[in-house]
Amino acid sequence: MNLSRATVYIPLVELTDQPNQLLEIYCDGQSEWDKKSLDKDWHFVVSPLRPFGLYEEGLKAVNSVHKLSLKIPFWALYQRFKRYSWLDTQRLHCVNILDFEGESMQLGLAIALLMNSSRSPIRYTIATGKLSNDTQKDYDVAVDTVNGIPQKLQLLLEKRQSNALPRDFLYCFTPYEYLHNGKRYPVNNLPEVKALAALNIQVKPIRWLSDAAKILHADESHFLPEDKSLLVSTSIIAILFIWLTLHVSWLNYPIHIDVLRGKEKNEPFLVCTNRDETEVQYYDLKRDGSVALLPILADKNQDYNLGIGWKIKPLKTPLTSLYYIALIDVGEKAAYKIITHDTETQQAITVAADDVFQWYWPMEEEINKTYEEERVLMIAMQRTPIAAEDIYQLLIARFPESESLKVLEVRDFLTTQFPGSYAFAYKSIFSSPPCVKSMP
Amino acid sequence: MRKRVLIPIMSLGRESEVVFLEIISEPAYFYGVNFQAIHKSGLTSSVIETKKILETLAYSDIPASHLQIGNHFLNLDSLNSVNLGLILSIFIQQKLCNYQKIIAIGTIQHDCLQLPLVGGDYLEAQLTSILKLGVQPEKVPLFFPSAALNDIDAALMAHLAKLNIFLKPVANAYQVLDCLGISADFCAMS
Repeated sequence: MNLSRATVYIPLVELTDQPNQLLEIYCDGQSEWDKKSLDKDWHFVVSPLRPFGLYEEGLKAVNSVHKLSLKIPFWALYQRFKRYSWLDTQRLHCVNILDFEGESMQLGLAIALLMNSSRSPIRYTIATGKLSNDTQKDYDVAVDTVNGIPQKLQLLLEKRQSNALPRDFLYCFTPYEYLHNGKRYPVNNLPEVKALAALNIQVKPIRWLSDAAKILHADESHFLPEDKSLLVSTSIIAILFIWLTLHVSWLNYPIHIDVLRGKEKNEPFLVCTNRDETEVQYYDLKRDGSVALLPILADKNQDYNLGIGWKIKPLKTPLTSLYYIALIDVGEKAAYKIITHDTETQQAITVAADDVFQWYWPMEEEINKTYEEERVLMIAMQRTPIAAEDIYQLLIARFPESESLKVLEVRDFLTTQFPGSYAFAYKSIFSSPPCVKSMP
Repeated sequence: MRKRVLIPIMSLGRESEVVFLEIISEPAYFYGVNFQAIHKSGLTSSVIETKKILETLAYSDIPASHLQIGNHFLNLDSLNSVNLGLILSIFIQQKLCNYQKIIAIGTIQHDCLQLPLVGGDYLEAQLTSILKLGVQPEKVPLFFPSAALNDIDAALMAHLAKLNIFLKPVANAYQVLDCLGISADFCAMS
């Protein structure tokens, strides 16, 4: 038994110059006729039937199955785009060598196509009948009676008894009625029907092709290899796309930063240390209206260091335990100062989620190149390492050096570039800081 | 949704009878009309004509449709133009068109700007064959050239109406679109 293809036996009687016999046809997905069919413009599905004189009957069967159509499985993506590929990939073949023209094999050819292109578990069946495009149903095909149905059933009995048919249970599809002396009678009344039933062949008289499809469970097309390939590639693309989307979402998921209290206020503050940094003092920045003021040294020969410091706490976000930090100071005249790595250890500056990060930016190295101006201090965070050079290039590209720098525009731009950021606008002024008097 | 257009044509066989060429139209996923399945059915020249008609109609919202032949005939190559049937198969997928089945008689003259509809020599045989379709479960419009209206016997018209088949005489392709409910309400008047 070959389970990879559907086989239909068609009883033929009253043949000219030939004994009654069973025509065996089968349907599978391969044919060496395809190249020739392409050259000759023949129908691929039925071209292997040409040498047997069954091309026209095959074409009628194809049209009928086409009209009936099958449901397409939900995941059969290829079939959704390439219509009727479940039918176009079938090839009808004939086993017996005979040149016989007869309409009674149309039903058998259509059933072979239905069985092989659907998920029908049945692989062998018997059929005789003519297909006719009945006008009462738009998407179904009527099964018309043919001559010699009693003789055909008799032939089946003989073939069954001589083991010329598969031993399994078999359906035998026939038209609903048979002709006798020009009158029509129900096939079920024939005595051969019961005799065949005793031999495990159930005669099923049908009025429509769809009746056969129901009995054979041939209502849904099977998965094609192309469907599998397309499903696999689509799944891979979908998984990659989802992974990429999730990764990008994760990278850009906002990082909330809590600014902790320095002295009294929750904002950056002034830091004073003595030269060996054994003593530290914190002061809130004074304000001129709403503008925070950072006093820059009036005299560079002081005995202390001065800087701006802050305490911040980034909150935990999903799948993240560590954030990378960039410290950016922007002044209209002082331009950009960017720190991403510790100057001593050359390690990237990082902070654990829910941990407090404090930093002190000494101003002493800027004594000779600082100005009284509006500035923005920015703390930027992301989940992957940050390079100062990358930020610098980003800023240069966005704000060319030839143009005057507008610090608030830079602040707004940088805010959009990082998932977490905190920006503090202040004004540097030349004045004596409050720590002067109290430092040793 | 699957919809059908039936075109009664004279077979070229010995018996010379009217057979119905059946075009099945289904909505497509992508923009435009997919003629691929009917190219190899001997309708290449009609497809070319149909494309020209679509260009002349200059209709901006052509429904995405997939056309195929419902019943192959071996001698399709020698068919006369069936461009009206193809145009109807395309626009039957238009959202405003409620018809499930349409019958089409006539040919659109694609090389004329007015796109007039002309009939053939065997209208009577075509109409008689339509009677054999029997009673239709839903209303089926029968498009045919309005110039041929006087040739149709009143009794035949009444018989068709009993079968739920209604005459839609049209003079040109623009009126065909009107009749499908796509632009004006020309058909309501006719």
